[in-house]
Amino acid sequence: MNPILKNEIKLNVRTSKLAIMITVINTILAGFGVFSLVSLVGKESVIDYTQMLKLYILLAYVEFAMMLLLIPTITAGSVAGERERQTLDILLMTKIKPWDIVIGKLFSSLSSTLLLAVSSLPILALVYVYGGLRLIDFFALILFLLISAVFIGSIGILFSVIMRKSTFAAVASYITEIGLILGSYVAVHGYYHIRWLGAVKKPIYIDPDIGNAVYFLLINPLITFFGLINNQVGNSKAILNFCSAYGNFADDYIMNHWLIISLIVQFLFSFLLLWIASHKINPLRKC
Amino acid sequence: MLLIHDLYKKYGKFHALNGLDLQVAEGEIFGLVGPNGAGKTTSMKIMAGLLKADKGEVSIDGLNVLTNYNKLKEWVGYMPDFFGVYDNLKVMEYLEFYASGYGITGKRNRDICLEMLDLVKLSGQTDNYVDQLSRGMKQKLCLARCMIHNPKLLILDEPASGLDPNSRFEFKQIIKQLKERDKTIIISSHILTELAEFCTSIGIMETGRMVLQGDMEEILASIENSNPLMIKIYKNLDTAVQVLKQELMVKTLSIQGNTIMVSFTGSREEEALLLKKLVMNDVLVTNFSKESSNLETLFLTITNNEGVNW
Ligand SMILES: Nc1ncnc2c1ncn2[C@@H]1O[C@H](COP(=O)(O)OP(=O)(O)OP(=O)(O)O)[C@@H](O)[C@H]1O
Ligand SMILES: [Mg+2]
Repeated sequence: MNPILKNEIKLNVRTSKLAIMITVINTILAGFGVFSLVSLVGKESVIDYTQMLKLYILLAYVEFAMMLLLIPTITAGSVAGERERQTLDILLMTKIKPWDIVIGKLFSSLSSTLLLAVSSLPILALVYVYGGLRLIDFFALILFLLISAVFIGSIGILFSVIMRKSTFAAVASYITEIGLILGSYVAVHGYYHIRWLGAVKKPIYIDPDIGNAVYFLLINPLITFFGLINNQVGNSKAILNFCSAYGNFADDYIMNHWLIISLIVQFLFSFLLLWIASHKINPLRKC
Repeated sequence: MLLIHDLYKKYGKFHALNGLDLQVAEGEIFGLVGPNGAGKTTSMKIMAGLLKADKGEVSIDGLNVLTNYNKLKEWVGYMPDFFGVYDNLKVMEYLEFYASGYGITGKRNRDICLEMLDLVKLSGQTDNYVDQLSRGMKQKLCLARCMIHNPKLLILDEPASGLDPNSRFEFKQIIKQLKERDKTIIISSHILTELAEFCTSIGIMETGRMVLQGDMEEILASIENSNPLMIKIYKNLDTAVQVLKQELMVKTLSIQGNTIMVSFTGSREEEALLLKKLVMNDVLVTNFSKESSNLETLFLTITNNEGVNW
């Protein structure tokens, strides 16, 4: 087992921080779930599947949002924190490979978030018990959360390696995260708008089609997550509908396999970011 | 063992190392001395492969540090001038973690950690938390940590700073024990006299350069030679001054009361002959001695009395 991961888990388990965080967040989630459930069931004696699904959607988004909020701080502090505590030099002197340091740091940072996700599964299972969803949907949800967590986490790790202070690294990670989620949307929308401004000046108006530029949204974890959740509750055309505003993608291969392709894109990006991080962490790298 | 040639390092516009040269032979305990900001830590970090020099070469056992990074990690144990400590980790766990970082696992890991704790006399502390140890204990723990993979070269950056006399003594004992294990050790310090006790050779650094390097005994002897002769006269001071002025080997001469300070370049024998001459000229001498060898004065003269901070 990766020695860094092992050590960090040991440290994590020992501090009460993690336990408190999990308890608090799960309590909020559970309270949320139970409250909605009661208010749903209370009115009528029959349980409405669609209401159940709404609850599922809500809880899934809450978990996703929590992840977006927590991961940048935790990962940004990992390597930079080691530098601040002045333990990084000693760590680099050992035979642990830079790649293993980076991976160890990533997964130890994610472990608390993942633990959080896993521990809140029973609450999501509430929805499952009342029907509406298949077991595979839960695994898909976990897989998506995991891959997006790794993606967001790698950004934090890279900044943590590059920047001296963990606070700066955290700020940079949040800005990048916002850039991914809002920025990519604004970029695509803005590009469409420019094309539209050109189109209205022409004598005959033709709705503009931004074509391949829409694939920029593949790096947007929120849009992909939106697609997944909609897909699970029966709306498999959600992303297509969303993108239709920017062109005609009805028979488009990538559009029809958006979820899996976005996951692969996120995964590849993570790999690239971590690879860069592992090179930057090595003090004797050739500049 | 260790060879540094023409090493340069700049931080921004500031030149921390200006063509540093340094050689340390196998089995030696080398004391690296210099005032604050001389570049001791910088050069040690470069030796340990934690910092990249702008120019120059560092090789250990003939292998260039830059291209043999992995061998270097095996061979070198580095103790920084601070103790990196994780909260919530116990002494034993701390060592076990670093041992596992060197690929040492299972029972061997535990055995080695216990052995190291025994060496630095921390066996009683295995279950205490690292951040609750005293400064001296932490420093000893760090020493144990940097030896965990049995390196042949130890680079210790001010290992004894901030220790009380007792701990210093203990520390020296540990270093002596390490010498018996055939380690080559490089120790930096501000305090020259402290190194004199166990170092076999020293190098004095200033503003990124080596100003004096050599065998401990030779350096001590050369200091002895350069020190002035102190002659206390009971009677016939004037005669004494006349006699001394005629001597070719007397370079300068100063008189304070009945004491004459003479810078004398001759050998021991010529010193004795000078005394004989004084006595034969009816000068009554109560004291005739070279000022005892003083590393600190040497250090101060070499480093221009600047920036020395105990
Ligand atoms: N990271 C850094 N950035 C800028 N300047 C630095 C840095 N590290 C060291 N220096 C400068 O380089 C010079 C040499 O520093 P170094 O730490 O090597 O000295 P030292 O001999 O170890 O001093 P001390 O006895 O105080 O430990 C100092 O003037 C210091 O200000
Ligand atoms: Mg220093």
